[in-house]
Amino acid sequence: MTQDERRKIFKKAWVNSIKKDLYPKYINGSNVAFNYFYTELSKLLYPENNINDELTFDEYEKAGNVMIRAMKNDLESLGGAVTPFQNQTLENVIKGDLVVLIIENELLLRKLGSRIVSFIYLGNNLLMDSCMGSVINWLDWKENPEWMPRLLFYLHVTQGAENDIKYMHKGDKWFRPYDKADKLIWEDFWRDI
Amino acid sequence: MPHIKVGQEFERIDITPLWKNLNMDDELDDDTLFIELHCLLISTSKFRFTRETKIDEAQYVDDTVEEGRQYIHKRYHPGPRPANWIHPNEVRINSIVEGYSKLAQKYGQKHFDDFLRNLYTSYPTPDPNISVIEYLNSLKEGRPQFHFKWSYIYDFMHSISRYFEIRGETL
Repeated sequence: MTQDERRKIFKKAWVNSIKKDLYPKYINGSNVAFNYFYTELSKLLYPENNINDELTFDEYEKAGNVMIRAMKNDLESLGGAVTPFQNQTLENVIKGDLVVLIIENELLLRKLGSRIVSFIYLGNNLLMDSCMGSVINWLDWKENPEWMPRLLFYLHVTQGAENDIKYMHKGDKWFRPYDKADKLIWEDFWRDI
Repeated sequence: MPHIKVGQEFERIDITPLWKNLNMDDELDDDTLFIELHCLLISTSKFRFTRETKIDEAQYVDDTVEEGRQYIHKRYHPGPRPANWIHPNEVRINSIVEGYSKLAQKYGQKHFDDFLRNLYTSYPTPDPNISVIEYLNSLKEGRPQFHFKWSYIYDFMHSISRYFEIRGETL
């Protein structure tokens, strides 16, 4: 994949994910930009035989943050390979993975609806926020004395693909990436991001 | 990828390794402008955490303990302000408008203004006779719960309105 192709795909998924939040079907609810980005990326990298083109975001859009606290359970139920962090480093995370952390100031954030924050890993300790609007350096932010962030778990998007383990399907349509060939495409895309 | 140093902050999207690696500046079209506008909004909000970012909110504080109650009291009764004190919301909107001016230089003033004006005036509302700000305000009435998505859209539209207001144009 050339860098021009990579940019066009990333950019298209990025723009569409932003529009999903700027022009939402339900204005009071969660931001869904990074979820939508993954979906768009999947459709652009694997345009055929892909269940993502049938997904709707209505329920996600309507839900407030309080209602998506069970993200880990949802991901596991859908067959996602969730790996808890054994230590507070991103050394085992690879580009394109979903990273989830919690902010833990018990005094100042006691009444916050949800303290779970999601990011897309960009490599080199850099994380793209869930609104797809900024990049932070984990090495810096982990030192923040007020928010007290702690890494919870990460999701290898292609885990299982090396063994052709296919998750989620509807008829002949599958959640992609799902096999060795898809894994190669996914890794090729993220390699030079 | 070059090594990222501790303390190296990316207050704008176009100075991130992501932007450089994807050669985003090679294609400064409307999609790229739209992305930069969005990132400006998000980067000036608390969504862009840094090592120094403060929580600075009273509504989430544990008010069942004395320390929490004192924090809330101090937030709502800050005492005399310095003469040059500016409300944080005003500081933020000024930062966004300043960012708009920089993007106008990058993309060309007329093109930028036309794009931004169109973004505001074409924002869908249920009634063409009410402005987008009136529409957004009506959605907030009677709903004390904070919604980040609503806030993001409001900030976007409000900052565009302010940008043109400063330039003598009412949208």
